[in-house]
Amino acid sequence: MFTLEYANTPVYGNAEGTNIQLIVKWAEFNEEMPFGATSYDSMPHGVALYNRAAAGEFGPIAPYVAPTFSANNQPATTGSQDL
Amino acid sequence: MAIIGNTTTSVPFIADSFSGNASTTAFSPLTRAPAGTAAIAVFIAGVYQAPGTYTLSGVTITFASAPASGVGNIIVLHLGNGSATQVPSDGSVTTIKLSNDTYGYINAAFATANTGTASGSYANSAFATANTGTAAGSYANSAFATANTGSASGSYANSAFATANTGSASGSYANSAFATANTGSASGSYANSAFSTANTTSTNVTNASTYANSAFAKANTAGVGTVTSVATGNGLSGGTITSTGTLVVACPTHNSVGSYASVMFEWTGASGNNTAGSNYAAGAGSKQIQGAKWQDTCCGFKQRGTNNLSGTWKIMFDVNYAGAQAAFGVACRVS
Repeated sequence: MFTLEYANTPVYGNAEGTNIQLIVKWAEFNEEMPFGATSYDSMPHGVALYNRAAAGEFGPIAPYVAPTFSANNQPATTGSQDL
Repeated sequence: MAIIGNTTTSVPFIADSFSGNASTTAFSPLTRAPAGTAAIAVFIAGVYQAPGTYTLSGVTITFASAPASGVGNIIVLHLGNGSATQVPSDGSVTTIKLSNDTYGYINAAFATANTGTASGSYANSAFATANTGTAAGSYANSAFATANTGSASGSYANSAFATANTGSASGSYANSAFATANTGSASGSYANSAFSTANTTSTNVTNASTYANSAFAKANTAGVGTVTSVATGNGLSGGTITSTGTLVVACPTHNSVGSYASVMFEWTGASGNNTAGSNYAAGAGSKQIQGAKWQDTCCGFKQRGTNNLSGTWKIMFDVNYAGAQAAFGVACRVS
């Protein structure tokens, strides 16, 4: 669906390693953008990008970095009910 | 006697004889009318008669006095064979026998003949007549072909056409002739055949330098075209349309480009790491977009499944809580 011009700085986007974060430049857009490539993407260009990144085509993949926020600091409401 | 050249031949003079009767003074007809008394010698009974003794009128000789009687006693001897009009044999006179002055005279005559009305003038009529039978084999066409044999642009016939078109192209004689040539059947006419031949090699842009193709290319500059098929991509249905039809906005496939999702993302309060309208990658790390899921301690939502978004997402709007580090929102997949 999109034509890749280049991609770089791959970083794992989850602990399972099924998501690889990259900075990509698609021919269809004027600017670079962050992209989360996954093996389960419904878009073929996303899966293709994941496979190429996993194969090391865009360089070594940096380890996953978990977010810094904790559950105690997440937004909460009073009286909420589980769905 | 030996001679050099053709063998000489002798031609006998013509002699007319008449019989006198002592009363008749005028005798006729002579074989030919003498140019004068010096052209004949007249004898009566073998005696030469001086020119003053007779007169001539056409083919009649009249004596001053009637010759005596006698059979064939009057002899009129023609002193030459006279002259006759020499007519060259058909097709025996060639142009090389004519002088340059003669050419000039003929051209002037043609120019004068064409001064009035071209189509009705004598010279044009003559050409039309000459071409009546078979164009390619007629004399006039052969002459034009010969005139153009050397250098086309510099030949006399081409120069004449160029001159004819100098004034007003559309009204000039040469253009009128081409227009007439194309009147009947365009594809079969001579002028169109020539254009067709010129374009035989290729009609692509490589040959645009040729005049005919350049003209066609310029004619197509406006960019008129026809749409033959309209397909539908993600978020649209109703295609492929090849004639008429209706496109409908469809619900995009989950996680496809153009789809929307309720998301959660990191938010660090005043620092504003995530901004509505900006693009972020889908993922579970810092400053990344995750699918809407939450722990059951938050907001009445309960976490369900795993983050299943991919690609690049743009935050459309968000709901933040002061002091919290994460927020909810809606995002649209960009790529």
